[in-house]
Amino acid sequence: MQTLADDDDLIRASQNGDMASLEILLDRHHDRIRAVCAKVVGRGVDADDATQMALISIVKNLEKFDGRARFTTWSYRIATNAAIDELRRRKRRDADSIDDEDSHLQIAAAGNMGEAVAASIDVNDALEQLSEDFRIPVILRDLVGMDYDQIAETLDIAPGTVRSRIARGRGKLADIIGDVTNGGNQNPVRDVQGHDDDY
Amino acid sequence: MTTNHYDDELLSAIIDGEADAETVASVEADSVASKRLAHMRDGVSLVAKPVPEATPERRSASIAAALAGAAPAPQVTSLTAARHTRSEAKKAVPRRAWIAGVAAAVAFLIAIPVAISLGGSSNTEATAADAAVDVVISNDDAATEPTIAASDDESEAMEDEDSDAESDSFSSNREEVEEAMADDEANAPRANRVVTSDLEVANNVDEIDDLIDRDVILPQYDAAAVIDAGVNQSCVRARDGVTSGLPYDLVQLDSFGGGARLILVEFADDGTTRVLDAEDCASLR
Repeated sequence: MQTLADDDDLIRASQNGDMASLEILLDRHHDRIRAVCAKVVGRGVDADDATQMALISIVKNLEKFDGRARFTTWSYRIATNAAIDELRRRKRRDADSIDDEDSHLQIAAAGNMGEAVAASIDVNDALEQLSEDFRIPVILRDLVGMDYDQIAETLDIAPGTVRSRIARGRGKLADIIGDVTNGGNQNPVRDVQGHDDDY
Repeated sequence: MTTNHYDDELLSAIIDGEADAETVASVEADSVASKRLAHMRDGVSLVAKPVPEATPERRSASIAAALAGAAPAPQVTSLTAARHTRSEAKKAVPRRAWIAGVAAAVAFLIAIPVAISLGGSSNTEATAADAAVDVVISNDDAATEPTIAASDDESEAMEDEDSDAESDSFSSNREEVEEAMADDEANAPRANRVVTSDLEVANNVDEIDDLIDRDVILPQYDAAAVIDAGVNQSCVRARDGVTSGLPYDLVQLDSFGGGARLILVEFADDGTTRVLDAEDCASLR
């Protein structure tokens, strides 16, 4: 299935209706897209759903892709939006289901981080303590490896804001790690919540 | 957090390699700041930790769903229309069988006196009797032909053929019956094969028909009704043609308890019915 064709060739062929090229393109980028979705939404099932929605969105919008941005940047933007949409749907679901088992686990983790995960920090638990505003720039920087300008373009915010949010997000994670390392059991969430509607 | 005069933005800049050597050295000389920087680096490593891969099945499903969105949208009809044509086809077949039976009986009655009047030639008699029996067998076969998922056109064709059979029943012969059967076979709807064969679990019109007969199909385009039925939402959403923009005709389930089997079915104008995708939602919980 895989060929040595580069993304540009595959995109052009896909835009001309070549389904085989489109499949190669999606297959090639699936794992990277899913990695972003998984870090943003946390849960595996939701990550898979977000990934699927991202791939569908990529296909639907591929004809509009003009090559001004790199395909990876463009697809990450779509993946990020799909993951944010997934998070919002999950919030609505969780709000409707107070007996949701996963929600209880998250609450426990958020409220008693050091005691619950003293031996090892669950990255999803840690990231879930960051609001979307801080979590997503951190993921795009430290997982995907985007530079600040690319993140700014992806999230449609100023580069200075990206820098600030990444610093605060990293600081929050440092708080969590420090708390676990020191054996503390207080949730150190302070000033990094909110602003969910900015994206 | 600010560690002495080193704030997180400066420490973050060090992580990104944007700080000068003098600043880095001064941070490393400060025990509080260096510890904070170490924790921030640990956080970066944590975020960069690879995520578990999707299962091969789920990966294929996601790509297949996306590819399905790129495929030309087939024309679909509503479930109501599909049911209507199906029920019409069912009504048509018994009537057709009855007419065929009458035609066969008449042909048989005609064949016997003709054979006798021909003077007992054994060869001719056998031919006439064979012809009568052939008619009966052929019409029995016709009565057991597929009765499901007929299009409006086919239903009308059946009705027309029934009328023709009534008016021409006395002149029925083997060639005409065989020709009619050949036409029926050529016009009979055939379920399309699913493109994503790894997801295909059914492609049988009878199975779909059985679901319809047992009224387990939810004839809604919107997944809301499915969600209300208590089915795993993410599974429904992942397959929902409304939100995904895919040309799915409906979302249907065959059970509600302990997990649900989700099937997307497309009813096309040409009378074909096909399962586009199916997945055990319980495995996604």
